[in-house]
Amino acid sequence: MINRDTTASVLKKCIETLEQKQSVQKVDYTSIITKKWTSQNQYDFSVDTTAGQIKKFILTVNSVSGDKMLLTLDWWYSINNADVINNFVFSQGSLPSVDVSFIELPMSDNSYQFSFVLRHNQYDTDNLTSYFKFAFTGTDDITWNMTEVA
Amino acid sequence: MRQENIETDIKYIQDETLRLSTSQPFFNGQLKVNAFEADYTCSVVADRYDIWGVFNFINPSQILPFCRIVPVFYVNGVRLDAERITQLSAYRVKVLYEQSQQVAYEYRFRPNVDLVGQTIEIKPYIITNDLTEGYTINGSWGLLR
Repeated sequence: MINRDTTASVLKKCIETLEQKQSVQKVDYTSIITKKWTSQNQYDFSVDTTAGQIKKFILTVNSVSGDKMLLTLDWWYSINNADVINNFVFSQGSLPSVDVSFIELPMSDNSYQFSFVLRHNQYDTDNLTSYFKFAFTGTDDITWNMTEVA
Repeated sequence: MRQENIETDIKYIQDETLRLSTSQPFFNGQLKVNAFEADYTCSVVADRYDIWGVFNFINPSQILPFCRIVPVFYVNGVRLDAERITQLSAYRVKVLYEQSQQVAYEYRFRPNVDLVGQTIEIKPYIITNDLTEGYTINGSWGLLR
């Protein structure tokens, strides 16, 4: 039979262990995907294009630890308006002046890679700037870079 | 409260705490993640339609894995990037906690018109914390007419 002292002792140890785990592992509700990265800026990356121009980019996301991590990416873009979140282009609907294609690629050297292609409509002769905003959620702190590719 | 209920509860808390304290740590890169292109292929002949598909990841370990499945597209062995196909949507549609420990994703993609008539091969790229062997992957892809 468990006496009162033993009960208190067991519970105290359990609580300490759980608090330690929650603190170290940053358990947040029921998810382990607790590392979030967003900037305070209206946009994180911008691209200038002219009529008919196509530009390709690779977004590479590295974990600070250098190991593989779980990661999800949310992204938005807007055209000629730096306030991306309040003016983003919907992915479906009429074709915008600058259309952006996107797919995720397999990891490379433990880094996530995402392919972006911007196509500036040849009939829109204005020079345009596309603004991108990113939000990353994962199991590690991250760094990222957007590189133009041929 | 009856004494035996208290003892049962205490035992349960003790066991759960022990289980948690020995579980895999997942802070800052400590989570062991397995990422690989699975030896499984679906295919679809492109037309002037979007393509739609699902991939299932079924884990035999009786522990529900964290799992993302990224479709990777090939034409004649060459991997496609966003210049030739674009993702319209990707949703996790199924998580069966109690039955077969299964994760499934559903996707919609739009191939470029230059791919019309060509066979697109689609392979699932798995990112998971399930390090056990013996998983099963299956899927189904087709045109959204």
